[in-house]
Amino acid sequence: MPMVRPRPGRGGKPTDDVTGTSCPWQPLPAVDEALRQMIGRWTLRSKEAVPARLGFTSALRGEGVSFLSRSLARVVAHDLDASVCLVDCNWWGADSGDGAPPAGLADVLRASISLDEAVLATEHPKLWLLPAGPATEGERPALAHSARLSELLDELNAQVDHVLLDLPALAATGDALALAASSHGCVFVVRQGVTTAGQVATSMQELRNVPVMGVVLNRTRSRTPGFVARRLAG
Amino acid sequence: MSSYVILRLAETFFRRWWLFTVPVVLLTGLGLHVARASGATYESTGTLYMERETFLSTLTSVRGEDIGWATPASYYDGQFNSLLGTETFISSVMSRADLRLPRHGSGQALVRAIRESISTRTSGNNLLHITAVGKTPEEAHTLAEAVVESFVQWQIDAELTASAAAQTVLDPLIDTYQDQVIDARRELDRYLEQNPEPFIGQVRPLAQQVHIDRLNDDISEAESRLADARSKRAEADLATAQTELDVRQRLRLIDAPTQPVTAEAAMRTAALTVAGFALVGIVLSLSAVVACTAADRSLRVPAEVEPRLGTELLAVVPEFTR
Repeated sequence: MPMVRPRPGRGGKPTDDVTGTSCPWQPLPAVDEALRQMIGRWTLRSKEAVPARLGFTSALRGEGVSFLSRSLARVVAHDLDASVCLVDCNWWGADSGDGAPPAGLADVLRASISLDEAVLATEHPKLWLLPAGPATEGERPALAHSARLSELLDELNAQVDHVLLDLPALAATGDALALAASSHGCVFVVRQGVTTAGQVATSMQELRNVPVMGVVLNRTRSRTPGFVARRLAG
Repeated sequence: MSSYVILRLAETFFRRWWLFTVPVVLLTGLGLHVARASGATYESTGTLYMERETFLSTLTSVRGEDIGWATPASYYDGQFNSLLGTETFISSVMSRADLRLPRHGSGQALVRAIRESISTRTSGNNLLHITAVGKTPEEAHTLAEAVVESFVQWQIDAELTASAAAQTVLDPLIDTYQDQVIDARRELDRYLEQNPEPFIGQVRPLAQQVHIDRLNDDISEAESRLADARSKRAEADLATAQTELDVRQRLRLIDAPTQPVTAEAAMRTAALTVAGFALVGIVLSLSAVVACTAADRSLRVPAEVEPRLGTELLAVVPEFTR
């Protein structure tokens, strides 16, 4: 990613809470393994293991979209040796963070700062992060629908192999659909035991203009003993 | 049923297995309590061998009941169970077993308890097993003996009806005829006292002789009636004896009820009671599992994602805790 360089004091070593959400930059074997299986399936299906611009969304907030998009970004950067930029489009999620959020996508879209200045480097040399940046509730719809967003993403795609979009939950805002439309395909994150099948189906119906690549069942914990589950599954 | 439904049911159960096993544990405990409270029971069984007819019945005019195409065992089994529903039969059993209705409380309850503690079972064409259950070995034994004897006696009584009726009619008649004979003899004696035998060489007047002959005829006629009645009474007695003998041969007690020494049947009953309660508990638990599964609309198992959402399941990410 020639244009994006880690800047002193900002890039290089992101903290755990750059955008106010958990930030799993350290390897998590069980999670990584599940994501590797997903990549493996995609590889078997087409030459492109991971789409060039992939969005992560969910029906409700708190289903683990940020966690999984970051985990996948790390796994792709590490395993496929591909350059990845994770773009946090979730201004709604940034509200929950303490203090002022760092400059990011919103600032770039307003042309307050350049893309180079907004992008953060991570511990992994091939993984970059573009935080959401501060945006008032009034600004968010305009930012989500701006033509500049599409240009910006094209720009990023020209510089890195994969752009992963951390999208807001569809129930959180109607602008999530516009943001999701910026991706080439969406992964739907569903938290086990929380989101109902009806909510997921309704949200996926709303996403009909965006190719939904499938569902990731997140935070699963089976209480059924393994031998029983295997027996019942036949 | 789809495999994911079964997996969902299993997941629901194992998530709160301790809650779903509560009804099973509680009801099994209740079953144990009930089984213990009901106490040990003992069984005593008597076996009757039934025949259609006996050798005696072929020789005499005594005829058993026409039981048609039914086997003797099934015929008498049906008859026994019909009798068990009658107050008279139960009263007879209670009388023989020296059981009395309680002064206070419900006598019906005792009658019902006796009915419930008696059962029959046939084996083959000719064997009828009559079983009585009691709280003590003595009670079971006494009750079984009383039931078997009451049943046999009932059969005898039913077939003795005709001869008993004859005896009832003949007994007062014999007394009457006996009195008539005595009266006739007294009349003759009185006449002979009034009209003594003439001296030797003299002849009794013809009128007296005719009167004496008439009195003698009266005596003969009364004696003849008395003898006839006594003969018929003897025939009735003979018929009674033959009938009783015939019934006792037709319904032979081949295994008299014995006093039980173990309460094996009670163990089986207790086991069935506990199993019944446990089964109800299991049904309740399963119902609760099904209800909870139906109420939970969330996605619980990976296998249900594709059938319910119609889209591919890409990954199953385990719960991660820092």
